[in-house]
Amino acid sequence: MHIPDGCLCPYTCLTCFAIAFPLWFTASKKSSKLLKEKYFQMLAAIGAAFSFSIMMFNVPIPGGTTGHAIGAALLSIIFGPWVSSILVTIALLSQALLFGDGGITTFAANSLIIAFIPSFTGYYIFKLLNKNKSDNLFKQSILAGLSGYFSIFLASLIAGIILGIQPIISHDNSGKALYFFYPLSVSVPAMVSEHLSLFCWVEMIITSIIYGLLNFNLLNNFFPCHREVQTRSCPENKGS
Amino acid sequence: MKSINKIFFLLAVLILFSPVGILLPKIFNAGSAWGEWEIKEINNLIGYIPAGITRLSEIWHPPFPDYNFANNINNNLFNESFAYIFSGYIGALTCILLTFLWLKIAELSFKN
Repeated sequence: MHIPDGCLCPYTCLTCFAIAFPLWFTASKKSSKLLKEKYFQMLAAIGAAFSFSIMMFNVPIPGGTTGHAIGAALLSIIFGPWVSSILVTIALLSQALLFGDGGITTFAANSLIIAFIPSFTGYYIFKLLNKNKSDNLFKQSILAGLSGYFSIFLASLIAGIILGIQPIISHDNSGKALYFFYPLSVSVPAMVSEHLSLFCWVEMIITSIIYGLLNFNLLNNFFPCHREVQTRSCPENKGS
Repeated sequence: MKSINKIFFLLAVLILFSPVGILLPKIFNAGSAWGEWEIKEINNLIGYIPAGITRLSEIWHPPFPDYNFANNINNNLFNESFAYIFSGYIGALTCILLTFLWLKIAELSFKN
């Protein structure tokens, strides 16, 4: 969910910006070291465009709400979590500025929840699951998919919490909410259940399919470069 | 650079299929994303519109609200799909340009 303007009170927005600025700074510093060659810069740019594009494919819960994959876990497996966080943040920036998908005041919150949390969660879960560096591509693709699955779960939990505390911390004298209006008891189950039941699966399927395609030997000649990006950004991937 | 061209081509094809993202919700009768309701929908849900939402929702007027053209009447699925694909290409191009801009700024800032 891209949090729109008006759903978070100014204190929350400012706190998120205060947390996000040093993270954006650190991510930029690390990324500039990693992406020195034009070729890898172009790949990263396409990665951002890919994340943006995959977010256009809305998947419905019949009779209910819609959601979409992010691609953060996939990008963080290829580029590492810091680069991936910024690439998804760039996609979010395009969405907020051009299409009003996600607010301007809530941009830092969205960046933390949709870009940073899934990137880091996905990356470290993949590292954990793939500790034995399995040679089996099918197994690796499933592991990549699982890291995609869990990356979204944690993000949805945090999103539910940040929305659910709004009625508590900002309401007028008659008790009416000033910003987001559903309490934790509604927002957390709503966010987590819809993501666990469908959107996590969508992310998992897309992550595992594309990871598999990128690593499939025949298609490796199609995209020989990503392997090198992987080894550069995640040195422990050498030999996988 | 042939590999990059292939990736560009695949991305372009992917965006061409993006109207699936507006078609599927219509077929399965699904609404907007949870929490991303419009002002009228909020009024229907809780009976009032929180003051902060009224105030802050006007803070930014995007050129293509909701991936559609600003004065487009959404009745026509074909128009909406065209606008969606167009938005997809514009957005993807913006992402690529912003990435290079960001990398340039980062390169200049962290010159060591």
